[in-house]
Amino acid sequence: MTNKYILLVEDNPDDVALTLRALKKGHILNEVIVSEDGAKALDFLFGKGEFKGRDTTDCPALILLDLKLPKVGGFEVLEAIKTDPCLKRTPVVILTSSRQEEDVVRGYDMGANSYIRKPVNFETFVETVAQLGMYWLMINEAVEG
Amino acid sequence: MTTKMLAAIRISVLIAAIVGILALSFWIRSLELVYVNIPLHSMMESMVALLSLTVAFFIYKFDAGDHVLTRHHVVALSLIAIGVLSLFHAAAPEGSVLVWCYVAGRLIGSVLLMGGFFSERQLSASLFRRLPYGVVGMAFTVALMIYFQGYDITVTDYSNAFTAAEKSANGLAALLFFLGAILFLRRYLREYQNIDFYFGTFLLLLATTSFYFQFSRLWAGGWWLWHIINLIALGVMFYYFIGYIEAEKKRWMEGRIDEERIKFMATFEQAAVGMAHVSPDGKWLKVNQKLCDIVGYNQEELLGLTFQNITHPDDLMEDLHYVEEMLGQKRDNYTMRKRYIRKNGSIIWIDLSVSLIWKNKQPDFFVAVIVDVDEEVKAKEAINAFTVELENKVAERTVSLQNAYDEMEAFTYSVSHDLRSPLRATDGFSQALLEDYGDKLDSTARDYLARIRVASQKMAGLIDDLLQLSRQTRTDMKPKTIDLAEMARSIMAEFRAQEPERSVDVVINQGLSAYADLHLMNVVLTNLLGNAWKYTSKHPHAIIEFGKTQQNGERVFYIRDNGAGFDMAYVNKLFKPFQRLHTVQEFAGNGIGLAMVSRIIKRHFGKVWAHSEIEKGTTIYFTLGLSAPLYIKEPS
Repeated sequence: MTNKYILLVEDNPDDVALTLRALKKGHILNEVIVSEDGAKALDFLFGKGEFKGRDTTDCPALILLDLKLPKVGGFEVLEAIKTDPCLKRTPVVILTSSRQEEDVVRGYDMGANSYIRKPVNFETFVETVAQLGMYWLMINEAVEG
Repeated sequence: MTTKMLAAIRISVLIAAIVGILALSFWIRSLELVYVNIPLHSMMESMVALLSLTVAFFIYKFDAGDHVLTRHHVVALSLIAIGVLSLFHAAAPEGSVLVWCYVAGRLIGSVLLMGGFFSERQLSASLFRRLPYGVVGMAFTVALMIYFQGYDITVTDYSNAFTAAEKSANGLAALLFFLGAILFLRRYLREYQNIDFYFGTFLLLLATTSFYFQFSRLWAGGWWLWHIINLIALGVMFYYFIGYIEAEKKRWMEGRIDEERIKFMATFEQAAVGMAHVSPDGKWLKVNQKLCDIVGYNQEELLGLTFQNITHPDDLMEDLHYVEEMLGQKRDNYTMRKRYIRKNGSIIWIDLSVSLIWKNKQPDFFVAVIVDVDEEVKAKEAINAFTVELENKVAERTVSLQNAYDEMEAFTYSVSHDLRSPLRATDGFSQALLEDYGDKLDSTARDYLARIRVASQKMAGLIDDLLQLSRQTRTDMKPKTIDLAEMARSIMAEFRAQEPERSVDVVINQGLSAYADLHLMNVVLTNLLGNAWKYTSKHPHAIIEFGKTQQNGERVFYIRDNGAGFDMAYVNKLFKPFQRLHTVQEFAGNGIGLAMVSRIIKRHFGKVWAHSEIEKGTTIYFTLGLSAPLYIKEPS
């Protein structure tokens, strides 16, 4: 469970810090790789650009994906993941402050596994991240195993 | 054959006939025959009566329209007299009565027939109407008098000559008949009028028989001969009147036809629509005044043109196509809207209806009806132009509305997304500070951090409310008939479940159905009932009522509580967002509920208003103006 990394796609450094803290508080000790924008995340996942030559078979155990990203948006990243034969099994949890309904529906339609609305109350956030992270990591184990 | 020759021949034949009759009569007389046959006599006289009365009847029937006493009527009157007296004559026993009835009928008849010559002048209508009855009455009286006075006379000697009185009366009649005959025949030779010839012949025949009577005896001297002559005379009259009545009928029919023709001409000429006959090749054959008015040409000018000349070139093809179809018997008529070019060059819109008249299987002419619809078409064009303009405007507005809507959408998204991030950071790092460095801070610092967290979470709440408020005006409405009472009951049940210790009487009326959006009405009732629940919380016994009433013929729903109430001076702030009439310490809340209610009610084309008294309670009223056909879908 600890040998696989989590990919966090998030542009806001505050949110990165808070998410990392929440994961730590939730006792999720997997390595976390952070991509600051959608383009970088895609480069990473598909071994392009600055990540040229990376072993793309080394898939993340969980992808935490913010929707509102510079350059390439969250939905585009989601689409790329869910249409890739290898990556499509990786659980994707959308992390966003938007509670707009169309976002939720669209996200699920495109294959997102869960949806977390980042609450302002940090304690709630920690709780949610811990629960969801744990759940999806376990599921992933089960599939792999 | 000229009329003169015809007259000469007629008169010659007539004279020859009379001479012949007289010769025959005197020859029979010289034979000294006596032939008593009362049934034959009665039959002959009955026929005389029948003929006389029939002719009289027909004259009255067919010549009665003018209320004028013409010579025909005088003849009819004399025939009535002769007819009536002949009847008595036929029915009388042998003797003086028999003779007198005959002689009296002849006398009255001869006098009246003489009158026929002079009576062309008009008499009064009433005289015309009453005279027949007078004549009938007079003839009847004379006949009755003779009948009863001479009843006992029996005749034994059949060679008896008539009495002197009988002979003189008959002689007078003969004279008058003859005089009349001369007058009529003279006029006939002057004017060649058939009527004069027939009347003259009639009178001459009667004069002949009367003349012969003078030399005859009872039942002797060929009485049957003169009776036959009498019948012939009446036959002449009968023949004349049959012809006359036929001619009259024909004349009357022709008059009718003429009248119809005149009416048709007037219909054509004075119709309020343009009418025309057009030759198969398009030439105007006959046009009425209205058509001239429509196209601005006068009749002569128009008759020199074809319809092709004045039809707008853009409409000509269609028109000619129809004409071809009609000539090819593919259609019976056609109607089209087209344009004529008027004489002054202006264009006029008309409705044209055309049918084709055939003659001997060849197309004869078109009947065209032309209605001026210029004003109608122009009004329609104006309306169309206006509609197009309106549509453009609507499209323009829709675009700008869509832009505003998109902008709001983007704004909402950014509020929802971007404004929350800093709050999350504020809250998160305050928490982190408390957790990681709490032991290095004193209690005041920790309190400040706690306040920062409370404030940022409150702001997040406000943002959420704001988003919710904007969402209420943006979601699609799906109105249907819903039961508000049922909805209110389930909402109240939730409140009760949350605070089971409270004593609240809830009165929800029956039959509170409405045509509205289910979700939005749920928001409305949750807010209104929630307010009622909330503002009665400080009262030991709360009463909340949901019902409906009628105001100005409109159905009004209300939710009434006996709670805290508010000062009506501030009622105008009640439905504004983030406006509160109570402090948070008194009652929790953020001032968004009633603003939301107001917006939802407005979306349902309704109104919402409030009435309140401090510490007595508040009533919120609302209407739902939406009904199934009124619902207008918002732009999506």
